[in-house]
Amino acid sequence: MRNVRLEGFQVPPLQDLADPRQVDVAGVSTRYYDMGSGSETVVFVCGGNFGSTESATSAYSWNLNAGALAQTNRVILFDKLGQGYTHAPLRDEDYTMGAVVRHICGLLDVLGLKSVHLVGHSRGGFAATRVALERPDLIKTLTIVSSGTLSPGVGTNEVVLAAPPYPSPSREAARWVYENCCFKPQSVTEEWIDAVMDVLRQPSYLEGVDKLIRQQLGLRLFQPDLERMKRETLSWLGEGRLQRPTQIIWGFNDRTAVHERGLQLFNMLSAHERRVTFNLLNEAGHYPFRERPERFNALLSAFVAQYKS
Amino acid sequence: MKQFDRESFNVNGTAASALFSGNSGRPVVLLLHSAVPGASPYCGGAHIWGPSISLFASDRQVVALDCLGCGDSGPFHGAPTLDAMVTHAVGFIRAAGLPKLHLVGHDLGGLVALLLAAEHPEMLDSLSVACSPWAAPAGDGVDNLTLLQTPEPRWSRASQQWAYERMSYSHLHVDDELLDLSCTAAASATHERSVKAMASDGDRNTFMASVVKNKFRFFKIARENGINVPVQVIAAQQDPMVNPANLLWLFRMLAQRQAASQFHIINRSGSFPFREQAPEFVCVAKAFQDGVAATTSS
Repeated sequence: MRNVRLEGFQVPPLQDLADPRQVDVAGVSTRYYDMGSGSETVVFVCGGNFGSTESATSAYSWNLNAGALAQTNRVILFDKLGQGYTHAPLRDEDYTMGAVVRHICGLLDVLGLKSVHLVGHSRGGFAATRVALERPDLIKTLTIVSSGTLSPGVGTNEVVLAAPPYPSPSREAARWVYENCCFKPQSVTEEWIDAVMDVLRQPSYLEGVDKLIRQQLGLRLFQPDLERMKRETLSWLGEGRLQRPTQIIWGFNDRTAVHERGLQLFNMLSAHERRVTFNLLNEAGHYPFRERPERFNALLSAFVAQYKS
Repeated sequence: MKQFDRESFNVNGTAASALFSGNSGRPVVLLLHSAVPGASPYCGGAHIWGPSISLFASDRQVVALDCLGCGDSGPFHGAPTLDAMVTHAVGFIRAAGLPKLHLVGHDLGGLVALLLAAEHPEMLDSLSVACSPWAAPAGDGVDNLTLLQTPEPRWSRASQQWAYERMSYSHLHVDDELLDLSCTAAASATHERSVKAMASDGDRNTFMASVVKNKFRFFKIARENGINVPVQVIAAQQDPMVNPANLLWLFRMLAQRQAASQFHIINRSGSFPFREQAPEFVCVAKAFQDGVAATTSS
């Protein structure tokens, strides 16, 4: 493990995600990690979606957080449908957010988990919220981290990241994307890019790229279906259907999902549910859990401990 | 609060009285309470912190000061000023021999805490500022009507109850213990002297001028040098005294120059989140303190 200090900004020692496991979820081979123990189970849901070539998000996103939370809790990390080392959807009609959500529920059911603390980042925050709405039996608390996909207001992902100046897939393109997501470029370590590049080489991942981009399932199915689902989700949130303690965490300097949108989301949820907090971390962009890991971990840990059985 | 000891120290000839919990050897949390001495329609003091004090005390040493001009602490000498309140708090920390600590300030105590942090960052591990209209930019606002028609006699039990309820989201935290202790504080000689001072237009204007001067001095510091202490701003969603939007601007000012800064909103709470939603308040405050400690040690 290396400990790198750059201009007073310290990159914490990296922890490899050890002991990857595999389980079949409705016919889809699924990568997950199961660590720590305790009365509470924390399940991390990464961002992104299948079929992206500029970046490839996976359970690795949470490698600065899993160890800390595993000190006092059971921690589950996993790769979402079509991401990381989890296989691609079986059918064309499963290239939807709905299928991603069903896959998460399916994984929790297969692992026999109930009443978990679900933590979702970005697109994963949308998916986690859908799980909380559709299968509240699976959820004890919800933590939504920097989810532009979920929040009302105008997303600025395209504003910041459209048409990277490097061909993809490539290290340069991935680095460019993540550096523009983060507050400081130093947050983007070589190990992080290594993890991304390894996913981009996986045949199962590339199958998803072919489906989403070359066969245009992104344009024809995933996008329009997500838009419809978002309309429904915002409507449900506005009606007060989310009935679990919820912690919203945002990076103050996120340019792809500005913090004002997290505040709007907080205003929506707090109208109906007492146990909702809004939390903003300075000098953090789209990855506050990687950019400010100690304070993020302390906040998440304390939130989970509040609702200990 | 019966399990806490009250101790008094001499700060340049003026008493500084505080409640101390047990747990010596643990990290210290110093609480600076709300209210303008002799002017706000309730008596601020160490008694304000309610259930949060025990929650903090589970793994910290808690110290709750009666600020200058309040309760069992001594009175202002001459016209009351915010400067004197800051000096008194600094003097108390030294006189009590407190180690580097986590400071938590509410309302006017929040502005005192920010100024203390600006002048003596070496005394603090972290700073939390909660529900402080005094520290937030007023921003072309309208007049606050929450406490417009205070019932007479001021500082009676009924009048203080009225004030607490008006400032809260739910009245249910305004219990007999709070009112008993608030009445005790109202009966103190120090409070009487603060009331006399604030009844005089000249002295009251001196105080308000010192608040404005120090507030803008603090804004300049935040803009130019920054506060050299990790700082957390906590707002309450239903606070009638200050909108979370104004406190978000306080956070933005602090965030310009302090990397380790955070902003939080607690729901279903008025001006007293440490009473109204004590577990949630203490949760975010302790998480910040613990997170700062983990960052420093890593």
